[in-house]
This record gives sequence, C-alpha cells and structure tokens, in this order.
Amino acid sequence: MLSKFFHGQKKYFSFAILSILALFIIGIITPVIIRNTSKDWQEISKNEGEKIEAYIYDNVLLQMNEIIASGKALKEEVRAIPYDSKEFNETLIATINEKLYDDYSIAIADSTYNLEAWNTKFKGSGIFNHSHFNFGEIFFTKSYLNVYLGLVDTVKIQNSKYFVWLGLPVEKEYKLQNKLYEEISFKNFLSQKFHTTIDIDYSEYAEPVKRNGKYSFQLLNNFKNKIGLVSFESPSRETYFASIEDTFNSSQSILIIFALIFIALGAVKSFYRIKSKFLKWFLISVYFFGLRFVFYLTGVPVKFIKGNIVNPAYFSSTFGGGIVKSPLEFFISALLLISIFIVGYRYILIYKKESLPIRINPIIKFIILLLPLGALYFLLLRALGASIKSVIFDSSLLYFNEPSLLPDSPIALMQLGVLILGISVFIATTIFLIVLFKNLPPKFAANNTGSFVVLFIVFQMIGIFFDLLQREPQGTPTIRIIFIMLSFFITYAIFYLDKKSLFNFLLLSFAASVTVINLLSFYNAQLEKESIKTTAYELTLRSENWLEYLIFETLNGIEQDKDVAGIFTTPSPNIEAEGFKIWSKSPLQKQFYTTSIGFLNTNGEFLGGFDFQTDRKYIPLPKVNFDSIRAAQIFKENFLFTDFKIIRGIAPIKSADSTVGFFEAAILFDINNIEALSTLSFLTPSTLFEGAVLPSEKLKIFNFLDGKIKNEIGGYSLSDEEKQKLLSAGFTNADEAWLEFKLKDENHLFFVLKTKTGQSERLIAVALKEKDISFGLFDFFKVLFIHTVFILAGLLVYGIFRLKDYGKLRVSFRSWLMTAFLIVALIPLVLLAVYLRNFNNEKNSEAILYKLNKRAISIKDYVNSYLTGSDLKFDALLTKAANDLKVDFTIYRNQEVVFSSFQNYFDIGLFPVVMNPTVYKELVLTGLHEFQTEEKIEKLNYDSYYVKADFNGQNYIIQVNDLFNYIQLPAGGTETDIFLFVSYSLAVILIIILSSFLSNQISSPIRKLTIATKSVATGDLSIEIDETQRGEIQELIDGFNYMVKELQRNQVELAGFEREAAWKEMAKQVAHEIKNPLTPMKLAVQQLMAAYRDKSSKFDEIFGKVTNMVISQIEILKNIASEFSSFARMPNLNMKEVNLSDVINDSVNLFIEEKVKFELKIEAENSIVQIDIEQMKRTIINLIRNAIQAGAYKIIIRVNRENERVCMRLSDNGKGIPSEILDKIFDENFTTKQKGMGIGLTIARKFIESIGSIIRVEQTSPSGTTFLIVFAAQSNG
Amino acid sequence: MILGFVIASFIFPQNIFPTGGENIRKVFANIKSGIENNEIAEFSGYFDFRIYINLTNGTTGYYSSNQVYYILEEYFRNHQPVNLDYSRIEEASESPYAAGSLIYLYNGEKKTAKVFISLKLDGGNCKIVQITID
Repeated sequence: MLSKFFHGQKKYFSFAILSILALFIIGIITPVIIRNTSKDWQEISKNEGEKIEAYIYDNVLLQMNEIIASGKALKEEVRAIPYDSKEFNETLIATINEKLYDDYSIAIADSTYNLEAWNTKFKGSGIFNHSHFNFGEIFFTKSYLNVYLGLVDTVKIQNSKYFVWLGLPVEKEYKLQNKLYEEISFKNFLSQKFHTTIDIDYSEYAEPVKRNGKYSFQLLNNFKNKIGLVSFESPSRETYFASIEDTFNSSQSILIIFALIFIALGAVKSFYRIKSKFLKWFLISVYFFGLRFVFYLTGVPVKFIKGNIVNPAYFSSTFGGGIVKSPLEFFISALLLISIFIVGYRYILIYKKESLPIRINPIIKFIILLLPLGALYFLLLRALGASIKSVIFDSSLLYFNEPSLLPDSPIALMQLGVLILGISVFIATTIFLIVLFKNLPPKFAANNTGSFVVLFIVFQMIGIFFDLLQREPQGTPTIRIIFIMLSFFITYAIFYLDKKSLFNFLLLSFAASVTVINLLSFYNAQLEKESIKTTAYELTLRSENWLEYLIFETLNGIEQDKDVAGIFTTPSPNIEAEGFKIWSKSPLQKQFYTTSIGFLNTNGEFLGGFDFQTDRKYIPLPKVNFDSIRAAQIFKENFLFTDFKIIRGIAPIKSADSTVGFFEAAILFDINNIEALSTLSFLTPSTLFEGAVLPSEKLKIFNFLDGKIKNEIGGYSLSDEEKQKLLSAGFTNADEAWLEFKLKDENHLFFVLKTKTGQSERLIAVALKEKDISFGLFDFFKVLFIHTVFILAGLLVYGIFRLKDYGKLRVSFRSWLMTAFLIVALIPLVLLAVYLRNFNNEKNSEAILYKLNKRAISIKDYVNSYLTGSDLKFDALLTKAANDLKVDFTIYRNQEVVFSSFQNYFDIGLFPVVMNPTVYKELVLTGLHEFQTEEKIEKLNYDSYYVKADFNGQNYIIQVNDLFNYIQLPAGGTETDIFLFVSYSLAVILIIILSSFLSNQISSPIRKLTIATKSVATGDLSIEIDETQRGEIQELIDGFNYMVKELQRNQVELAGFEREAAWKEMAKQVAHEIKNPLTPMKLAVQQLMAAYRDKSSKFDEIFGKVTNMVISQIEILKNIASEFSSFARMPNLNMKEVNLSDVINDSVNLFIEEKVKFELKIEAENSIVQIDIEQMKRTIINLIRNAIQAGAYKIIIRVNRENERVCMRLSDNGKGIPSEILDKIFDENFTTKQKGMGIGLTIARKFIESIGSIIRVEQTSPSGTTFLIVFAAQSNG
Repeated sequence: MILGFVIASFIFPQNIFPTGGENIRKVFANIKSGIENNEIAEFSGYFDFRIYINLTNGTTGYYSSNQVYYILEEYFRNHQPVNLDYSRIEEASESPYAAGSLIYLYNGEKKTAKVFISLKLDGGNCKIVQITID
C-alpha cells in the first residue's frame, strides 16, 4: 500500500531502508568487533607503537635528508663565490641569507672558529665545538632557548678551510602565552598527531625509562649513531577501542542523515501533489527542523570538523538546549531557517485566498489575520535582537575590535550567520505583510497606497506599545523604526513593483545587513560597558592570596624536575636562559607584576636567574636557615620602606635524594597599585586582562587610595576638578557609580568602584572613550564590507545556477554606462588609496627613523661628553646614559653585542648576540654610516636604527629600536587605515549614487527613444517624446518626433486615399454586381406591366413568374450585400490563451518613461484569457494613450474575476468624457482630437466584440474614466 | 515553528541557571562534585555574568556563563575528570578561592592539573568568577 502511495519512488525508500538496516547492523556488530579485537590487544598495542615509531623515524629521516641536501647546495654556492674579490664576505652573507635557507640557522666560520658570515636565525653561540660528532654528521644541539637538528661541515675555498653550521630549529624550550608567540615544537606536533604525549630527549646520552606501558626508541642519525630518545605512553586499550566505537558511531550518524535525505527524495513527487501550499510549507518546515535536530543529536557535521569554527569558546548559546554551541552550528541553524522562510516566501508570492467554509466579513477577517501576524512580526524583531545579543554576549569574538579588515574563519562564519538570520527575519516579516495586503478588505484594496501608508503607521504605533510591554526591549527605538520602514519598503517593492527582480534580493540583503550591524553595534556597546565594570572588579580581585597561589603554582613540580636539578649539576649552565624557560611556562608570565625566577646554591647564595620588568638587583633573603628548608616555603616581606611587598617562594631541588640547591620564585607588588603594560609586548599577555572585550590600551584607569590618586594608567593625568568628580560620585549600595564627563574634550564613560582594603578606602575608576565618528563609521563599514562580500558571493552563486539563462540576459545601456562610470571612478580611487597608504607608511618610516636617529645621537653625545673627565667605566656610563636619557639601546663592537639596556634578553638568547647580518654587511663591510631595517622577534616586527659611533677612538655601532622604546607617530598605521577605509567607503557610496544618477540622466532619452520605437512598431503613432536635451540627442529626438508625425500624417493621407480608392472600387463592384439582377428584374416588371396593360389572360401566370423571379433576384442582391459585408469584416485573428497580466505588463512597459503612474492590481488568481495578443496590446495602448491625452497622470489597471469571467478595468484620473459624446466614442470617424482619425476605439470595440467580449465605459466624470472589458468565459474554466 | 523560534528567543540570551545562597564551603563542595561527576549543571548556577577561565587545552579568557557551560562540557568530554582534591580553601577574604589538584584521563593517560577557583560575594550569593585548570 505504501509503494502504491509513493508512486515509483521505491528506490529512494529502498535506500533509506538499507541505510537504517546498515545502521542497526553496525550497532549490533560494533561490540562484537571490539570484543574479538580486544583478544589481540597485545599485538595491536605493539603495532600501534610501531606505527608511531615508524612515522617519527621517517619524519626525522626526511628532515635529516633535507638538511643534508641544503648543506650540499649551500656549500656549492659558497664555493662558487670568487674568493679574491673584495666583496667575498658581502656575497657570502647575501648567499646564506637567501630565502632558500630561511628555515635554517646558518653560520660560517674560518679555521680558527672566527665568525665570517651568518644569517638572521643564528643566535651566535659556540656551535662549532661539537667535537664528538663527525663533519657532516647530523645531531641535536641545544643553543640558548632552542633545540636544533643540524650538522657542522667543512668547505674548502681556495686553500682555506671554513666550517659551516646549518641547523633546523625543532623545539623552542620556552612558551609565551600571548598571540605574538611563534611556536616551534616537534614534540607538540607529534603529540597532537597521535593524541598521546610524545617526549623527545634531544641527547645522545638519554636512557629509556623502564616502566610498564612506556614505549621508547632511539633516534639514529645519518651515521647510525644515537642522537636522541623518543618515549611515549603505549596506546591505551580504552582509548583505542573508544576510537573504534567512535568511528562506528560516526558511520551511524552519517547513515541517519542519508536515510533522511533518501526519505525526502522519495517523497518529492507525492509532496508536489499536495494542493494546499500552507501544508507544503508546514511539511518542509517540519522536515528542516527535524533535520537540524538530527544534526544536533548525531553531532554531524561538527564531529568531523576540527578547528575554531566548532570551538564553543568562540560562540556557544543556550538556544534550543545547546543546539548552537559553536560558530558552525549557528551558521547551519541560520541556513536551515532561511531555507524555510525562502520556501514560505515563494509560496506566499503565488498565495491564493482560500475560501473559508463560513462567510466572514472581510474587515473582521483582516483583523483576525492582523493580530497574530502583527504579533509574530514584532516577536520576530525581538527574536532577531535576542539572537544578536547572544551572538555578542555569548561570544569571545571581537567583531569590531579586530584591526584586520578580513576576518578569520569563526568571525567570518558568525558574520555570515547573522546576515542570514537577518535576511530570514526580513523574509518572514515580508511574508506576513504580503499576507495582510492580499487580505485587505476590498474597500481598502481599491486604494492600496493609502492602505499601505495607514498600515505602516499602525505598525509603527504598535512598535511603540510593543516596547512598552517588554521588560527589556531588544535593540533601540531607532533600530525598531528603521526595521519597520525597511520591511515595509521591501514589501512595497516586492508586492507592487516586481516580484522576481534581483533588486529584491539586494534590497533584502542590505536591509538585513544594516539592521544586523546596528544591533551588533548596540549590544557591543552594552558589552563594552559591562566590560568596564568587569575590569574594575578584576582589579580589586588581585589579592595577596592569589599571588601566593601563583608562587605555589610555580614551585609546584619544580622540586623533582630533573631538568632543574641538572642546572645545578651541569658544569656551566646558561642559568639566565634556564630561569627564563621556567618563568615562561609558569603562571608568573601571565602577570604584569615584577616577577623573578632565581637559583640559589645550598648555602642560599644567588647563582643567577631571570627577572621580568625590573632593574632591581637581586634582594637577598633576610636571615633564613636554608638547612631547615625541606619543602616549598613562602616568605613575605615589605620592600625597603615602600608600599611594595615581596612574596617569595623557596623550594629545595634534589638530585639522588640530596639537595643540590634551591629554586626561588618571587613577585614584587603593591596590592593597591596597578601595574602598567610593559613595552615588551612579546613577553607579556596581550592585554591587561587576557581575553577581555576591550583591549587595555582603550581604557584609562585611575586608582585612588584614601582619596589620593595612586595610579593613572592610559596616558592621562586627572585635574583636581576631575578627581573630585570621581570621588564625589553618587554611589549605590554596592559602592558602584556610573559617570560621564569629558577628558580633553572627549566624552568618557566611567565606572567607579569603592572598596575597603584594611583600614584604607580604595576607589578604582575605569574610563572608556566614546567612539568618535570615524571609528563608529569604520566599525559600520568594516562589517558592511564583509557582508557585501557575502552578498556578492551569493549573487555569484545565483548567477552560476542561472548560467543556462545567460543568453536571455539583457544588459541595458544604463547598466553599461553605470559600470563604465564605476570602473573609471574606482580605479583611480583604489590607486590613490594604495598610494596614500604607502605614502603614509613612508612618512611613518621617516618619522620613526628621525626619532630613533635623535635618540641615537643623544646617546652618542651623552657618552662622548662623559668619556672625558669621568671615572665611570664604559659599561656603567652606558647604563647611566640609558637611565638619564630614558632611551633603551644596544651597542655592538664588530659584530657582537657589548652592551644593552635589556642585556638579560641577549644573555638568554631571545635576541642574537651577533649583529643583524644585513646591518653588518651594510655598515661594517660596505661602509655605510647609518642603516634602518625592520627586524622581528616572535611574530612582532619592529624598526631598528643602527648608526656608527666613535668612543675613545674605538668603532662601535649603536642600535635604537621601537621595540624597547615607545615611538609615537602622528598618524599610526591603524589610524590611517581607518581614515582611508571610512573616507573611501563614503566616496564609493557617493560614486555609486552619482554614477547611478548620471547614467540614468544620460540614458534617459535613449530609453525613451527605444520605448517609443517599440510603440511605433506596435502601431501607436500618437507617441511623442517630450524631452529637452542638447546637441545630437535633441536632434535625434526632434528627428524621431518629426518622423512619427510624418508617418502619422502619411498614414492618415494614405488611409484617406485608400479609403477613397476602396470606396470607388467597391462602388464599381457593387454597381456591377447590382446591375446584373436589376436587368432581369426590370424586364420582368416590364413584362408584367405589358400583361396588365393588355389585360392578358395569362396575367396571373405571368404575375406569378415575375414575382418569383424578382424575389430570386432580390435574394441574389441580398447575397451580394452579405458578400460585401463579409469582405469588410476585421482581419483574421491569431487567438491564443495567455495570461492577461503579462499582456498588460508588456503594454504598460511602453509608457514607463511617460509622466504617468501605473498601479496594477491583478486580483484574479487565474487571469488566463483567449485573445489575439497584438490586437489586445493595441487596445490597451489605445486606452492608455487616450487617458494620457485626456490629462491623466495616474492609471489603475485592475484585473479580477466576476461570475467566472475575467474583467479588466482601466481607470484614469483624466478630465473624463462629456456626457453628450459618450454614446459616440466608439463610432467610426468620431474624434475630439485635432489630429485624431476616430478609428482607435472603433477598432478596439470591433476587436473586443469579435472575440465575444464586451467593452464599455463603466463610469466617467470630470475626475476620471473607467473602461471595463469583460472577457469571454473560458471553455476550460 | 516560527512561534517556537520566537518563544525560545525569550530565554535565548538569559542565564538559564538559578543562583543560590549557600555558604562558601558548600559551593566549593558542589563544584567538586560537579567536576568529578562531569555534570556542569551541578555548579553552573554559581556562574557569574562573565567568568575568566584558563584550561590546559589553551582556552583562556573571559567568557559568558552560557559559553563557560559548553566550554567546560566540551573540555571535560576530552579530559575525563577522575578526582578533584582541594589543598587549600580560603573563605575569609572578600574573594574566596579554592586551590587543588584535578586528576583526569586524557587519551587514556592519567594526568594531573592544578585547579584554582575564585568566587565573589554578590549580595549574599557566591558567584564563580574564575576557573583555572592548568
């Protein structure tokens, strides 16, 4: 019975059933497979371990081969450099700095290990002293903070031997927790690939840990010598089988989706047979909702995708119990929602008022519809607002604060999602409005524009009440008003202008984009406001307890760490670098406080370490008996008569059960103080509060203690009046206050929080500057730009789907003109923008150079002035210069660093101890005096300026950069980009508007001529182009008008001649034809007269014959008359069944350039009539032309059905038809026009009547006329 | 269908979890129980409007209470909690906190992470403002 119902769709249902069967089979066999496989677990475990081993081995082998190949290539290139040339060293440096070797750390030294050349990745350590490895043999080596896989080889140039080092960085031994950190970790790469912790000991002396479940193997080099040890946990039995189970579960999920798709395909034909459109829409909606729910239950497609777009940290809402807990799921939901609304929209366009079983007053029916649809309309607006609110509040994505114009994948997906959501809501509201308009009571429907305006006002009023009804309205009143305006405008365009225009898609999309951007911006502002509050609270949360916990965290695990113990047992460790490695991985790295890591010997003497953000020397602990420290201990002390405190944690470090030294972690802080951001952004967290909505540089923070300012962060110093405003703010019971006032003429929003710390009262004020107009516009245009890209992509996709209709596409002259204008205007605009950006960058570069140069010269002068007459040592003098001038700099002698304000970062190897090779080449080898270049640390680029200096007759090079020194630029890169983007976005919009206007103006006469030509072609010779232009176009118009007039005159004359000739011919013919029966009639009558005169006895007989003959001749005359009558009838008609509305549209289109407004009201669901299309068009054109000539400027054409017959009423607001001539208007040769022939309406009536239809004047008055045409009933209904 | 979408939207941006007024120890006990049972709902009622989280998988930053619910749900799906022990509970301060160790299973391997949970007192109610599993 089922198969009968589904009519041959069995194959799809068979597939669906097969999918479901497979699903059950998988469910049954999975535990069986797992049970059977688990018997061989030992074997599997071994195989899995070997698989990992083989992969790592191959990977290392590949890297070794690449290193060997690169080494060979490098040696060949080096050998090819002419040794005797002056430029040997320069060429050598240029060669090893080629892009080809970018991945490697490279250095070349002479036979006595003097460095000859190096590249930017080379940090400058004694890499050539690995005597226990052969030349060309690959090994792992630790240099400062990195581990390299590399080789040392020799190359002979002429007779000299050179050493070459070529190393590939495989591991960074530090980890910075900010966005600038560039990770290099072979261990992490492998661990992530195999979902297990893979450890590599990069040492030829590493020994395997013998423990159950631990898998170890040696790494051998190209000489088959051991260079390292890899160890990892053997695959866990549970994890292995869980992954098998997961694979089967995933297959089942896919099968469920397949089954649903096949069911849908199978039901398609039956679906099309359903007559009720509403039911169809309902079923599709249920299907899509069901599909979404199944996606949610099965985790498809999220479980198959990895990355940020499925990460709930980017977006996750509680909507639908967690149905949208990632950007991808949000996008999928939006996509299914829009699919439902699009289907609904398509149905609603062809929606037909269905007759109800009971008769309801149309007004009551309209009100019954208005109430739920109006409610849904506003609830949808609320739903859109709520969704956007969730998109902002339940997301960590910075939709507006990201400086980049092109968003990353989660933001792009969310932006696309909100755009789709916005379009869906606009489609839905359009559907509601169309339903309402289609159900307007007839009395109001007659005046649709008026009804439209009234309904618009009603909706705006309801909107106000709707806001009043809600406890927390979504969005703002302005957004609501704009939303209603846009939705009515879209409905008007769709309902009254053109239902299928592509313009509607653009209108919907941009209306949605503008609404969504406004909502995003509104909620983002709310979130920023909340964020100010969170920031203030966060600042009060930093307690001593928290800092103590951080110290404990840092100490935790250090005690038994063999690497830490190694620092004490290794002969000459780089103790600063080791300190930095530990600091970078500790929670201390996430703090802005002054923090330090130290190593102490067993007597408590300081051996070295790393300190961040302090120039204070190590402060020894007050008397502590180190012998008594058996476990981690915390010490707290005040710092030298200041408000600062030190929390210090000491932990003993043990090796083989004996203490080899002590580890120390310390924080120097003032709990009532707020630390400012460090200039060394690559070392600190990205913002004051990681992941905060607002970047800390956008905030100003003022910290008061007992009514006195303690800190001012954000580069602004409060005046006394401003301080007073904050201190005397109106606080709530929770000691909170919101304030708004100006700082430097810029409005700021303040959140002020009062707290008690001991006996003191602390007040924290966090201020956010109100966005100025350029930043507001930048936000708007930035998102609009992204949305526009999506909308254009949507158009492109649509275009691809419609490629087959390409031939039918018509590109108007106006479109060509507009495109040409846009191209001509935009190309120079884009070029100018690029030029301005580059120009600004150059100017900025010059400004940086100038400011760095000034600093370098001040150092040079300062040092030289103190060199004579000062006892200070050179190092101390340089330190004094840095402190006094507040300039941080580095000094090089030959190629090596001899001093730096941040010496510790060079000592640990964060910065190379050898000069940038390009700078060395330009300044030392080539002989330039100064050089500016861009350098890089992690992912951060900075500008460096190098200049030669002579101190005490010795040559030095001073380096000053904008990494260590803050350089303020008049217009920074971001500001310039914002300015350019906003101004050029406005310019583009202006160009589009102007291009549209100009192309419209220029093409207007051409369009009018085109339409007029079409009218002439259809036989309408009464047309005249009313256009005033200049030059050739005016000549063309005049020529056309003259031509048409001539044609009309000639036609009249010709018609006259033809008519006369026809009359003559016809008269001749008629005379001839009539003559024939007249002669016998005359003879017969004469015969009858003679018989009567002669009183003939046969008179009766003759009378009979004659009368018969006369009657027969009269019959012949009648036939002749009929023949002529037939001859004068209308020409043959080409009857076709057509949609009347199409014919009306075609006819009306000819008048689009006329100053007359048309309103088409096609109210009949089916307006199919049987007519001659050309004759019908001529009739409609005739009626319209007459209306225009009667002074009408508005024509309403209404098509409806009355008693099953299609009726067309053409009403105008012309001067009407005087009653005295009303009965003559259809008469031949009757006209009131000077140039009229009086045949238009005659022909129209002849045609209409010839097709069995009726034409008449339904009403006429001085305010207008209505012609009614009632078409013949269709035989097929 | 549309009605469902609309009605759901009324609860869409709201925090669906109630707040309680229990004492601090009970709050930390509930958190412990919730983590050990892998039931975020057991303590999500204490989530503040925005919470700072820092997890071993690299997730760090401020998130809304709704997000934190799903972030932790996702995190504990891959890092199955075995046991949470507090080594220190600070009740007296204005910012109560608890620190301890979490033992969890990751890819079948047993691992340990340090846990730090910080609260704020909000009109007699405790709100979780920070969860660090590092």
